[in-house]
Amino acid sequence: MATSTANTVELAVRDLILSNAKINDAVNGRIYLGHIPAYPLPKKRLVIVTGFNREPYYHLGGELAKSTTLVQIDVWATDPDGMAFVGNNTGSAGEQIRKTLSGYSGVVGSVGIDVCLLERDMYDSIPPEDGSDAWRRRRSLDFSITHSITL
Amino acid sequence: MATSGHGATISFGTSGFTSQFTSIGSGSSAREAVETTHLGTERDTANNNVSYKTFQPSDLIDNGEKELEFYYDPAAGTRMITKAVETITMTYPIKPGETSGGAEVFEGFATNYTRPTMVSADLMTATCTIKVSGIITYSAGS
Repeated sequence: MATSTANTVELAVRDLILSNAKINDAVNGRIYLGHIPAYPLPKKRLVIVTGFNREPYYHLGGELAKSTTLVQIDVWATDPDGMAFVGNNTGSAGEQIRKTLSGYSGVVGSVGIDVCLLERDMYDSIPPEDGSDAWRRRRSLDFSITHSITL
Repeated sequence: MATSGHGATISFGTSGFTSQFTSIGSGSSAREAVETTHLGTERDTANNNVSYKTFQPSDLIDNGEKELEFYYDPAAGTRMITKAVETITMTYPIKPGETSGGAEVFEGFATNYTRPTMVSADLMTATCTIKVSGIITYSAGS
């Protein structure tokens, strides 16, 4: 992996995903934190990384420098062949993301990841409004990540 | 006023054992009830002349054990189970308006050390039981 400067778990996940050359080639930079930028509108295949529901740990003296965060990764495609991008075929970006993160432990930037556990793997297909075959497809992967934090 | 246990500490005078404790069980002190019933123990004439056993407190008090739970750090080298009797100080949380919490000072040693259970999704914790030997000296918070 290229040297990462990640200092949050969301950035660490993004860098970890991009360290997989197959994903990096497939998304070509279209990996966003939290939401899709309003302008310029990104292309039809993209990935969104959203961290939420951070669970802290405490000891009697204060907060532990560790927490468990639920990170949702949404893999989107809106083109007719989108399932090849989000689906569970070996070469898809969705599947490569699952393989890269599921069970991962290590250090990314300044974030130490104890473990990354897949909590939920869900598919969504929304029919196109224009009657075409360009369904909007999403694969949503929720990972429970136990990691270091800076207090 | 009731307060939470957050802020309680425990320190070990000789071994220097330290950790991120998540729970300190203060334990309990106990003494036997010594029976003092004798042949002349009064009868209850209003209730069929039964007698009631009498007791007095034993003058031997067992100050029990302290149960400690803490996050396990594999890098920490102190194995409490091997340590000798030492002076241990446990402090209660500082209540609003206080500058120091109440404290218990006693001699003690580890009688049990439970290694962590390793589970993917959980942080590792370990437990240690400290036997109190002798008196516990109490001091109030101020």
